[in-house]
Amino acid sequence: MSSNDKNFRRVFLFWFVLILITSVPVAYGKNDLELEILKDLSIDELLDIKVTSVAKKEQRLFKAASAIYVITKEDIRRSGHTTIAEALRMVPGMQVAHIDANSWAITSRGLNSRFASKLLVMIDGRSVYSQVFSGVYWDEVDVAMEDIERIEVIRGPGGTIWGANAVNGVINIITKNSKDTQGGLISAGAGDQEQGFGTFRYGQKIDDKKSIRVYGKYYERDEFGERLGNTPADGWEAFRGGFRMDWEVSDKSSLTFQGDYYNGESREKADNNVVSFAFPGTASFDREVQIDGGNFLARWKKINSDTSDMELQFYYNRQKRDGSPVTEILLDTYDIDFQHRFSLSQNHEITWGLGQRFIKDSFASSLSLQFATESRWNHRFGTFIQDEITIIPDNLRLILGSKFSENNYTGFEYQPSARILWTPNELHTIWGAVSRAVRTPSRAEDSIRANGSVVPGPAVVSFLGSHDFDSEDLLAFEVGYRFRPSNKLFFDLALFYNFYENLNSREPATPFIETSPTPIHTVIPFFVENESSGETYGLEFDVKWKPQNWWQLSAGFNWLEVSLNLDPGSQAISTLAAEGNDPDFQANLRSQLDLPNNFEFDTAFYYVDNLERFKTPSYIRADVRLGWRPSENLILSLAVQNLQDSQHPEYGEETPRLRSLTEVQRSVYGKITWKF
Amino acid sequence: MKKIFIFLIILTSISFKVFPKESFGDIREDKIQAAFIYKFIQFIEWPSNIESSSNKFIIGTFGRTNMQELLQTFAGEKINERILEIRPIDNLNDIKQCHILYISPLETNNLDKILESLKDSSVLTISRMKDFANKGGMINFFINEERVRFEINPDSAQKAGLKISSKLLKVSKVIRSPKT
Repeated sequence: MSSNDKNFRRVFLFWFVLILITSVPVAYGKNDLELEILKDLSIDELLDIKVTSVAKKEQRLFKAASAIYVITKEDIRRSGHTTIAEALRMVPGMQVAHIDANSWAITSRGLNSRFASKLLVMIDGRSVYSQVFSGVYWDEVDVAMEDIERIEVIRGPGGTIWGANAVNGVINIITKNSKDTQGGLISAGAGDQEQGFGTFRYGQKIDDKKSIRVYGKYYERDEFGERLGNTPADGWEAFRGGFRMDWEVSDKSSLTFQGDYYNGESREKADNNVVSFAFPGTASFDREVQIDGGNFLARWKKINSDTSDMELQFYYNRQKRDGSPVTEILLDTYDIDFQHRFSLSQNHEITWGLGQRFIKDSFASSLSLQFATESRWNHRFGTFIQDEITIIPDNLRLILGSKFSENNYTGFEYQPSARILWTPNELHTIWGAVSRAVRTPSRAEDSIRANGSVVPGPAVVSFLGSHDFDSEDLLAFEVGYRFRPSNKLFFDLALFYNFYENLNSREPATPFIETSPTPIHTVIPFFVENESSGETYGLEFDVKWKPQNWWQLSAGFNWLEVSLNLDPGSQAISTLAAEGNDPDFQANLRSQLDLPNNFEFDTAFYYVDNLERFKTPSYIRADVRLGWRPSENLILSLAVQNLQDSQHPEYGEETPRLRSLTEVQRSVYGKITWKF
Repeated sequence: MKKIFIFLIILTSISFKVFPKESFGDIREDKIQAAFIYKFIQFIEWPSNIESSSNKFIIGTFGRTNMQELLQTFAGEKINERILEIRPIDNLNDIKQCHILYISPLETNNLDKILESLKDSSVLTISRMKDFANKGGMINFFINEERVRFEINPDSAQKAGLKISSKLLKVSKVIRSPKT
């Protein structure tokens, strides 16, 4: 046992003992301020109060037949996290590793990688999962943090509704309705890592039914710490701006229009890039990846009744990553989706939907990275149907459904699931699920040629995509239990067993001679194939406790085992994701405390086990935030992140090595938020 | 490092008695219902023999529900010279002691039994369950267009000797007992 582990145990013990001691005299806080106010309202006024959708949402989440977790806007504000990627640490069971200042490896339920291919991420229903390398560019996943209403995270497969690539999890980042962001907001801050950031937002009512907001934000972030003697060159900066308009066309239908534009620069030290086929042939250099993009989305929603609604959504998304001289990626995505829910009879609630997506891609090639077709249209079409069957009213439900889709890589795909939900009463929820989900090939797996290194001869080692590469697939078994003994205490437990087949492997093939470009060289090829399979299993546990109106605690724990093997006949040297990319254990403890005189004191501790594959040691992370609200419209805060050490590594080198690694550093920043 | 940790932990764990910040705008359904229950008192007239029997006004809750805890906020208030008491009721024999009985939605299966035990008493019954008012309950909450609404069965109330103010009936959905 490392000293880190011991420390952690001590920290754990201390917390629980102290919490116990301090909460003995707590018992019941009699005064509920809200109720005191409600008491003095008239019947008519009471009739006019809107029931919070939070209650309904809580109810919906409590009775969900999947491992769902919600990060609230208050969680985000009080965590002090400045990026969505980092905020995901709060979710028990998410693997979040900061690779360098502007890139992350994030997934749930294992098989992590910089391009973790099995986690679908969406912002307001718009996918930000990139089909090029099957993964998410986390430096581009951003909104004004103050605009986030909540982040819903589903661990486990969601393919039946969300479609391909929702294999290990789905993340939905949901921004506020513009009617809830009226008036102005300015926030600005600076620190040693956060060299400077600022957000401006202004919202206005156009008339009774329409409201709008516009925002702009900018940040500049420092390089991380030196690792293995590399001089860090991974600072980044970006500007982002956008709008959202909401229109309540009638009592039952609403329209939303929103759009964003962003432009930034993510710097990195590119390593071992092949610049010539003559030995040694590689070069390392600093480069600035220019990111540039935008989107426009329109959504129409109609609510017919408690059990019937429909939604039609269209979006356009442009993403450009200019990583010259290695490559340049340009993607234009057009997507349309329709979804409809209705009661077929008293016991059958049907949800069905249709969706179509077109992606036009184009690439600029270099000696190290080439695409067989430099530009083409890709498409996918999908439809799903799901029946929620009530077996015993308010008690037992069965949810059966499947997605059926077609895409230009693998053709037809199906992703069925069966879920059962037992809610014996308001306090307990027990659920179980069996589902199949697929991860469709990326454009790279289909048609890339990545030259990894040049050896004397000369000969070049190349990784090649293949049209024959098939989807990876998962068969998942899950069970979960939620318990809410009072409205101050909440437990959530999920267990899973995943069987993966057709996982990505890199198979060697017969070397061949290539004459162009000169000099004449031998190519040692590795083709991407589906010659690997594996199992993962584990559990995720989460407790939330609110001993007082002014104090909220949460704790999470997860355990994960990954076992992958190459199929008989495979001669692969590696798989894309591998055993040992994920920590076996993780735990966290968070506290949000309101102090007198409008002070807030928030702390968080995270324990992340070592990563076997990279020999990355386990670490404890401590975050502290002190906030002060001298008036209703002003918040001052000071945050320290990674207080525990000056720097530490969180991830390792994947093959082939493309960029230099750096280490996460302690960060201190101050921030001011002013509403007007 | 360890010292900093311990310091932080202690600081985090110290409990200061402070009032929560005022936040209006997200109000839970059950809180609104609790306020309604409290408000209903002034719109109901209990038979005079019951009115004078004790110096307490009792709201009972039956079955597992957090309404008990919410209503505690009002405990000790004066209602027509009487002190409001919130009392969890576990035994059917005790339910006649209440002026108002809130029945947990979890008690759907026992509803007939409960209402049977209340026969010939003057207890105002309130719940939030399907068909509560149709089955002989008096006031039932429901949600319509994101707002708390209630239906009242005045026939059931009348049978129990309770008079419900027309003002309250006006803003409710009136349910009539099926003719038998």
